[in-house]
Amino acid sequence: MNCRRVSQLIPYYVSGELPVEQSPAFLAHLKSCPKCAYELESMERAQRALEQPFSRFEPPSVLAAVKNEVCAQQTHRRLSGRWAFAGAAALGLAMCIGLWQARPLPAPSDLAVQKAVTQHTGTSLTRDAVATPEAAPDRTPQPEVYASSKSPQPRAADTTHQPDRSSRKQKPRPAAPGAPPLETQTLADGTRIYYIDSLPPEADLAECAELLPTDGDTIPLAEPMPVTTAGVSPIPRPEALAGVRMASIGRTNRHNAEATAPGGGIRATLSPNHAIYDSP
Amino acid sequence: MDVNSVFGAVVEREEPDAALAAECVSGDTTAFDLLYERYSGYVYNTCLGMLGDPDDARDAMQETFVQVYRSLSGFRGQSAFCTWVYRIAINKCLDMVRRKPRHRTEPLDWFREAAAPTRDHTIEQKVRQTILRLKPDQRAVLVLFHFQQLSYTEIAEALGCSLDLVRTRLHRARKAFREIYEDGGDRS
Repeated sequence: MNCRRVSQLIPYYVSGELPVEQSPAFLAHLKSCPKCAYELESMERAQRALEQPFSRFEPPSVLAAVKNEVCAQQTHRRLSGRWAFAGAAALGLAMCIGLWQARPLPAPSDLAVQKAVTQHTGTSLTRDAVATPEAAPDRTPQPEVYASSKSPQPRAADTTHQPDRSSRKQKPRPAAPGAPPLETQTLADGTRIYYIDSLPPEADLAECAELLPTDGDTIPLAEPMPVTTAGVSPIPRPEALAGVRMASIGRTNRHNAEATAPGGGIRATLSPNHAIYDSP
Repeated sequence: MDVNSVFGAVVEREEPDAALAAECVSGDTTAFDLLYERYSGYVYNTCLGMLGDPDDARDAMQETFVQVYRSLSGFRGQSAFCTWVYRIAINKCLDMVRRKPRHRTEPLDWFREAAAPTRDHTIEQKVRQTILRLKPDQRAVLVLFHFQQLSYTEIAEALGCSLDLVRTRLHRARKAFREIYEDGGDRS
């Protein structure tokens, strides 16, 4: 048995755990090796030091602090849970709003476009003020009509439908007593004119969608307006658009409509709250 | 292990630890008070041996009992409650040692004032100083074996390791202890 092995076994010997079969060789080596004997002596001193009785110290009382901390953690966890719930609810709400915004164009958007067109192309669209395509270029203030050459299917308005929030924003135009709420007129060239103002405010939105302007429809403009340059203008119409019949008008999204003059030089994007014009 | 024999803790209810733990989980706060009363002395002295500083030992003890309270519902009784508490305490101390390794070089100035004046504490102070110079895992086995008088089996449960590993680690710790102790206990 060499010194390295003896050094490994010394702790076992001191603690009384040295295997019996190794004891003779271990003790024989200690007798012949002063270095290992000193190490054993040293280990026995250390072992005696470790085996002395140790002081016991009275613990400080932390029971109240422990309970306070536990309560604080539980409160924090509850609050965190509530915040997580609120966050999840907000996320769900945001997703619902996003899905609603991204849905296919529904009837209310059509009504918004219709409102935009109404606001930006004239203030009075009445049956009594029908303008024919021939009468438009005289630049005299004219009442405005909405004519569709695509001839969407006319249908009788259902006055029993529930009013819509968007329709409430429109200026109510009382229909003539006894007059049908929606009428059409067919011009000599076959163009069928629909009177937008005759739409009852409570008209069903889905049915209104059928009457919205689409590409190829024409709409006469009237009332000279201040000239504006391109950009967002709170002023409804530029003078350049006054009296111009738009060659096409169509929806760009659920709130906006785009009107284009026959020559293509004037374009206007209309919305209920503002208009964006491209100057000729 | 008779937990009441060492500190003479006043225990009004002689219920086993596992029963008290179950009562505590069911909402009986006095059960936790009793568990605290039984084990606060063990936990504090273990932490003091591991960390060598009364303030740190107090913090570790507080963290230990907070953890005990929070984990009581998960105590299945597969090990003794006392070794389960020791395990939490040792882990808290090891966390604290990792966070504050300065313990290895700090003198035990508090010891002479805190220890009972009835006997000479020179050797004990030197032993405590030496233990603080050891590696944390060696510290843990020496503290549990020599300070807390735990058996190999209990240490194995408390440290979550095998009996052989406890034995090996203890002998290595003693060897390392001897080298530093014989060197005066001042080597860092």
